[in-house]
Amino acid sequence: MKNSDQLIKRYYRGETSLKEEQELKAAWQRGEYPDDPALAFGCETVELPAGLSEKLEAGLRQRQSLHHRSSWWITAGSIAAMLVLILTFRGLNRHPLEPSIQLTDNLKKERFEHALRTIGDVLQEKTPPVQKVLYEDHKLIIAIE
Amino acid sequence: MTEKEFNHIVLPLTRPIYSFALNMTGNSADAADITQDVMIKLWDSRRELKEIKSPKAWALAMTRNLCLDWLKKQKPVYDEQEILRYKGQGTDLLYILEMQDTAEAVRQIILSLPSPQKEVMILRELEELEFDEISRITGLGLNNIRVLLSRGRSKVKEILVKKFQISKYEN
Repeated sequence: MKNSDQLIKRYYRGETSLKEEQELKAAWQRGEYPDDPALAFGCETVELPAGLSEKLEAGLRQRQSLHHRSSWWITAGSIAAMLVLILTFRGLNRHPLEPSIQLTDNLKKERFEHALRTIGDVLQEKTPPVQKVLYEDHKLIIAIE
Repeated sequence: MTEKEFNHIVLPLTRPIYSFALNMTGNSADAADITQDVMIKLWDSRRELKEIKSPKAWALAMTRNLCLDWLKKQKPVYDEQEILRYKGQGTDLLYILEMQDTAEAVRQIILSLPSPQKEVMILRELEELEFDEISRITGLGLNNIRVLLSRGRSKVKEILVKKFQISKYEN
């Protein structure tokens, strides 16, 4: 039995490889195997209908631009959310009693001396007992009755 | 999968998708619609596509499912008996088969085959897919695919021999 007969029998049994089938189809196109016109199937190239490629590309481009727009909004939203979180965190960590004025050493000394003079004045006077704040800063409060 | 990768890998699959849809449905307009739907679904699932070994097989599996949905809504146009007996509007389909080139005649016969045989024939003969890819698309076992292919090819030969009366088989 010739090799070609063997091959065609194997073809009809579904035992041929893709390469062998391609060889059979090429042989059919050359005019061999005239009794097996089934080999004609797959030898033609199907043409896409006019306008289909353009329609597809337009549809995909539309979807791609929607994707870009939604990506942009998601990115902008994420950045805004991050900024809000950062600002909120910084606000929570800010010290509540931070003095608005930084006192110099001389100023502190002056205030302390004034406090002592006031104490002296108060001790000399007979006044009803009241609480008087002599000196106050974020670390120290001096008050007397 | 990035947009660039999609355009490079998936967009060229338009022709095999359309070809498969055309052979399944027998109708160019519906095949074009199905092709568009498949490409959009592929774009929407492009993240999964990156993991897939054979995007072509994935695309054809999607096409197959859409074609089967389409076919369920349609009345069958061709079956073997119709091809052998159909007469309509003064034209004889057998005459058309005889006058058309052989490749078109074979395509008409394949359209008439029952569904699993038709699918396997199209995927192997036209799309030139390996058996394991056909198995992935159709869900059929490898032996089953070989049997369907064998029967499909023999059926096509039988009908063509009957109709074209190839001399070697005349007694």
